[in-house]
Amino acid sequence: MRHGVAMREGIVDFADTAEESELRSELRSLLDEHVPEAYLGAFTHNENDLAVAQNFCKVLAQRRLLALAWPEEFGGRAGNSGELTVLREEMWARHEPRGAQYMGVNWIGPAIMRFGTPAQQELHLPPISAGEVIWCQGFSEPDSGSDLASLKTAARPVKGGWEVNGQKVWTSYATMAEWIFLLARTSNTGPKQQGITVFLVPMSRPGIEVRPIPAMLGPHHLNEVFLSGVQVTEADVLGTVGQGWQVVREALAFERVGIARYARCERLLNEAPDALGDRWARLPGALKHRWVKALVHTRQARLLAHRVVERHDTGVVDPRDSAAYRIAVTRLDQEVGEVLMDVIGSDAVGTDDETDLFSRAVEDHWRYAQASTVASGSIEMQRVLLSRALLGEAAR
Amino acid sequence: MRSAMSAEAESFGRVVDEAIRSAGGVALAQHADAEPAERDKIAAMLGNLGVWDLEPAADPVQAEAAAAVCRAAGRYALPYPVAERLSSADPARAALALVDRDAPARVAHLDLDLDWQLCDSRGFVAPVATVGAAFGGKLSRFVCSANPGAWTHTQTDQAARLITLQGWTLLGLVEQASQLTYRYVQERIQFGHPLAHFQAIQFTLTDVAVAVDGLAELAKYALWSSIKGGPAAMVDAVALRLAATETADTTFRAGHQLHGAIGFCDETPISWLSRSSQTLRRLPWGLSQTEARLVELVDETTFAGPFERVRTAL
Ligand SMILES: Cc1cc2nc3c(=O)[nH]c(=O)nc-3n(C[C@H](O)[C@H](O)[C@H](O)COP(=O)(O)OP(=O)(O)OC[C@H]3O[C@@H](n4cnc5c(N)ncnc54)[C@H](O)[C@@H]3O)c2cc1C
Repeated sequence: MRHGVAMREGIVDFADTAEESELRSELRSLLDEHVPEAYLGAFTHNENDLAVAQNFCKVLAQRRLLALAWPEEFGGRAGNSGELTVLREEMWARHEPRGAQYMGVNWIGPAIMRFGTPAQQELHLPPISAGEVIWCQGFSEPDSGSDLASLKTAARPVKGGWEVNGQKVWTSYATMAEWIFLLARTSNTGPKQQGITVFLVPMSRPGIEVRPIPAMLGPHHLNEVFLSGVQVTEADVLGTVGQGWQVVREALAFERVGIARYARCERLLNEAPDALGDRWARLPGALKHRWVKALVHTRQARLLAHRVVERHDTGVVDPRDSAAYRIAVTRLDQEVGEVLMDVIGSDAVGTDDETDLFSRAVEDHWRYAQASTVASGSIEMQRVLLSRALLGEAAR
Repeated sequence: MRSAMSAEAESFGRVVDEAIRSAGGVALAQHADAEPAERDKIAAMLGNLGVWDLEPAADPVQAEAAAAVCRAAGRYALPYPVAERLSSADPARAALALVDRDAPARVAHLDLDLDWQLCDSRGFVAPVATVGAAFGGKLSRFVCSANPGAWTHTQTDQAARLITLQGWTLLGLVEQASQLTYRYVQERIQFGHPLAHFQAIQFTLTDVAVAVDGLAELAKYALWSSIKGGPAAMVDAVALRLAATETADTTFRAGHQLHGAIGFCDETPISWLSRSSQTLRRLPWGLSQTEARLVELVDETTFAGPFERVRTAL
């Protein structure tokens, strides 16, 4: 090449590194050993499923795999982002056997590392990395969903701290959680983003009441949390008073890619031909076209997730990357749900065959995927973020 | 994992991009439309930069450089068979064209004096026996019919490289079309606001951006696979073609719609990009035929990934 520099260096490489593939096989053998094949997640009416998750978290924690990417002093093994990606993928492909605990290790723990006092770190981090505690996230309220900053739950100053009154809603895992990462308003002056404070509160504290909300997603996903006269003190504040919005923004930035939804999509799509056996050959050609397109979209979503992680490692944090990824992956989840429901035909509405694990997994995937473009902020909010990155001031 | 190409390949791509831009950019398509021999000047310009000295089959960095060159050519709808030359056995004088053996062979720029060879996606290759005159239509200015000579069977690596490099050309086309559209909606004022102010327009363009970003990542994946070669390279190349065709549909539909009437006129680059993307999107397969071919390929092998289907008895 006349204009090139005559030097040899890194070229594109999408293979797992040796460490990553070793970790994949380690995780797969742990999953095979400790998670039953029929497991469809911790959140069912069968208490055994929760027990599987609780036990599996401890199994992972013993090997420092639960909080794999955390520093060793807090119970992790300082894994790199590639290994963290492998962990996310392997877990989600098997219906997240960490149950509710992924939230603690993914962003609540890191937020406490970043903003917590030494006392808070000592209190909270070891139980999270040991897989011994479940947290819930108290953000959304009946009148504050997408417009989260408008939240009204009030922390009114009283002697020795604050008294909290208000209501949270859609609070996943609140019935089983021991702690809540709670957003409350400590001031009503200035812009709505100011005057919000994060409190770390035990769910056993007087004045907290949880009511489950029955839903098509299955139990434990959606709950109401009522707060009446809940006493909190300075020691419960994460960061500083009024810093809540910043804490949440940074904390959720730790959640750059969130759940590896594409991993379960890939696994289920690839299982379809063998699960269907003879019926596979008889599927309409149009459906196989949709199936193969979904495989391609799955690969694209995975590569977009890897791009976010890789660029973050080199110090580039571009909201465009994560918004594009989230739009791609949440739509993928629903696309794959639709394709596979068509693939299983009449089993889509349910089956009385206990051994038909594939159809049960697809039905479960479809139901949960309905919420993927709403949970953790709607896809429209991601579109707003992305269009600002693309179109600048004109998009305001 | 490393999703960045070598700096050397990227910088070669920038040199070529800059050269095409300085030579006129999209206007080159307009010039060639009026005077087909203008294409020889393009060949000479790229030759001077060293593009025809690249050996993508022999060296991974040069394969990346070839991809970067095709992307640059795509950005300006360059009226020249760059991917076709770079995937041939001898880029200095030959070119390779993909055809479907069950359909009439139609190839863009087949009238150029190059040592053309035809290939299909199953490993068959044939010389060109006879070439018809260029069709001269709005979407087919330089498309010619060909009669193949005798077919012989070989590896699919070369055809996979061609399909991959054509994917990179389409990537350049949709990148440019999307950028032009983002810019246009920021500048055009209606109802007292830039068009970009309206959420319906913003959301249409987020679909474009997500598709283009996803395509850019997939293009690197297919390139990596084509460097490794073997049967997976063809699967991954056809997957890239599928995504590139879909992305072109999304991007050019939005591009035309949001440019309003001006976008159909010869004075706008989007019009040239749109029509010149058609040969890449239709020859030899459109979207449905690409999907059908990918279904066959995945069925014969697998679709690689961490959770790929592992078959014990084939
Ligand atoms: C499964 C699940 C689990 C959840 N877990 C938790 C949890 O643990 N803790 C917690 O705090 N919250 C949780 N949530 C709540 C979630 O964060 C909210 O549902 C989400 O932010 C949307 O708020 P909303 O439901 O009030 O919808 P709204 O804000 O009322 O919006 C309704 C719909 O309108 C559209 N929309 C809204 N605003 C705009 C706009 N500006 N432009 C265009 N379209 C718009 C969107 O389509 C949106 O989905 C959970 C939600 C689900 C579904």
